[in-house]
Amino acid sequence: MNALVTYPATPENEKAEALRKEIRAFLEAELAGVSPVIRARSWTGYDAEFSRKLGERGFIGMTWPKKYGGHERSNAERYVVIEECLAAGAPVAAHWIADRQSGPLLLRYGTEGQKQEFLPRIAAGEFYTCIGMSEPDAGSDLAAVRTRAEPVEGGYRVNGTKLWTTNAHNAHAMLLFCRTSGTPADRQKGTSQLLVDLSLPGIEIRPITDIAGDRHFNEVTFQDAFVPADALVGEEGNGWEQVMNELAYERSGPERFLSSMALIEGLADLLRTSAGEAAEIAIGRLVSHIATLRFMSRGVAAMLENGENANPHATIVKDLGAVLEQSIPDVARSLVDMSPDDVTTRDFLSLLAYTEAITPAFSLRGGTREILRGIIARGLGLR
Amino acid sequence: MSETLDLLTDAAARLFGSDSEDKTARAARDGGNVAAIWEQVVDMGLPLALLSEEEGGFGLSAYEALQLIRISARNGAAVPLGETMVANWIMARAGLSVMEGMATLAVLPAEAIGEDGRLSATGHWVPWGRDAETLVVLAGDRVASLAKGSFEAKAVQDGNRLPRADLSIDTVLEDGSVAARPASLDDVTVRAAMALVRALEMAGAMAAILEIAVDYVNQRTQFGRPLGKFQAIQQQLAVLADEAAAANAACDLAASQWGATVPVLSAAVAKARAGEASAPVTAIAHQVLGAIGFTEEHRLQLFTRAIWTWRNEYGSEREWNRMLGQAAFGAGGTLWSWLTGPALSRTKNAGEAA
Repeated sequence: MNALVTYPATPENEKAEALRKEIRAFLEAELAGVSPVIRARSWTGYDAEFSRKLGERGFIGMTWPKKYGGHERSNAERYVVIEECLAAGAPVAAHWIADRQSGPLLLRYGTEGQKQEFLPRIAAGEFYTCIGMSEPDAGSDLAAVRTRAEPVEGGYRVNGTKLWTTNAHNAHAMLLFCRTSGTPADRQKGTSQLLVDLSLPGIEIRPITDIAGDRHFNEVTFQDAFVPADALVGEEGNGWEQVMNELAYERSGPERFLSSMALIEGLADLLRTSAGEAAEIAIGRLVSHIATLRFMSRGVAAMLENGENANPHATIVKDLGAVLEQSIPDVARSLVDMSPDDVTTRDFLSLLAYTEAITPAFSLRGGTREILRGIIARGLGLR
Repeated sequence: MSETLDLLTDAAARLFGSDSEDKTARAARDGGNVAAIWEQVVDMGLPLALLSEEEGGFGLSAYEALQLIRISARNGAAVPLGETMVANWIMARAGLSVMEGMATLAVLPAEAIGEDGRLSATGHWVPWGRDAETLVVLAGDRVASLAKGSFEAKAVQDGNRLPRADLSIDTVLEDGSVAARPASLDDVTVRAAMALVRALEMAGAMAAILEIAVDYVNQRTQFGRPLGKFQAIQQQLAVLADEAAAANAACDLAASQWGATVPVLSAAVAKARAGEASAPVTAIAHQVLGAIGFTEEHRLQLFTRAIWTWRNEYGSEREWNRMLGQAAFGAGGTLWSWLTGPALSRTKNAGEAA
């Protein structure tokens, strides 16, 4: 038995490193003057104009075929672009989900028509999607979905509710995971995925304000919404396999440990001039963790490039990344002599307050900590 | 992975795993003889594995050669393979002749070697200092090699019973056994090389611990089902797997950067990250194995206790994290630009020659 999960060493890619300079210069110019507390929103920050500019530069759909608007770049090159966007705290939310998972899913399972219609618009930074998985009664237990797409003449009639749908109010379409036959008791069987145009009648999007006061969550209700037959992605009834692959895309990226770079940089800046032993040790520890996670995450990207199954690898990176990121506010609190009535640390405190408020999400979104650890345990042969 | 490495790793795993009762590992802890297994290590050519073919090695990349250290620890082998490989690597760099016998090394103060060529010093906590055929000494601008018997070695008590010794040296260095010390082999670099050896050993031991824990929870039944079927146990073992994976990955990062010289910063990452993983890995394994894992008889302690010694040797997390922090602050610019720079992220192909 080989229980240990190991990650391939990925050789430095000269093209990707050249690209790093390019994307860095672009981000520096675009984000000049943006405050750390805005940067801390990073991949939850929505800015359609920024997404279009990224698209124009060829930084979305980077690995996709040119005939679908992609750029046929390597995963290593895409990796550099997304990690630089995250580290800089660029507002990538508009296109992030489409680039990360909806596009790749269409590329893998979509019809020729779907690929031609949607992929070029996604790559241009003009077409945004949201994830239609969670429901009021189906959170971690995704197979309990009740939203139903009843096959009818020419398409489906959809009824049900999706919840915690990030960016539904800004998205053009939802990749809806739903039941097309059977009952919730059938679990994974009888499920499918539809790419639903959110402007269709019968769909209502209601905002939910998050703990930090931001609006990205939504509740999306479907009431006899008619969705045309050509919205079906992949095979009817094959939804579970497809959605598991979609989740693998969702979990594989470096956003799972780079959400807090704005706070880490802010912390390092505060400490730089007067760093004592405790600060050196604490920042060094963050370095040892991030350097390790980057090595692992780049290994995941290389495995995906080679068509290998990187599910356990990505799951471990996400689990470790969330633990690290959730520890960062307290690392900062232990090092910075701050007090709410001290005006010199007020900006840092507001950055800290924002990051603290969103840390619970790190081990919830994209699969809870308990679900991830269950997946890791399955890999160990325990389930 | 190259074909040579596949053959070699299989053979090494067979060799180190052949002692199903851990007799050698236990003997080493009782001050006994490990010569029998070392003979086989020599037969396989492992002591020279870090060297180029011109230097007497067999053309493995450093990344590949360093895997052998992890494999030996994963199989519970109690041999100074890492010490010997690094000692030979230093000897080759200094132009001294390499050797197949057990070797170890000590970094001593600059004044240890006098003008007259006399080496006079004490060395503390030298791993395998009583057993090694050769002691490689780095002092000031010199590298020297001493044969067993030309110095006094007294065993010191390691709390986890690994063979360590204090040395008392007073000898005139023979011609041909001393050379100029290459500038690239300063004290920090040599310490980092051995820190990486210990990190690799810890990573290998963690892989073994993970396997021991998984086997145990699959076999042990309580409340009518195997322990591994309980979610509480599954969640704990997932954390063990996470930490073991991180420790191993940190070592792979450093190993993939080992080239003409030692990658000091990524070796620091490896030792610090593996050291940090050591607490959850050993604690969880002992928790799930219960009382049986707390016995001398069970092999779990051969791995967990070795880790508890290794994590303190050649710099603990505190020392290496501090060094990383100082380097990060000293680099100027953003932390991110330094993290993504060559020192911590340039890696080579697994098969690329060192």
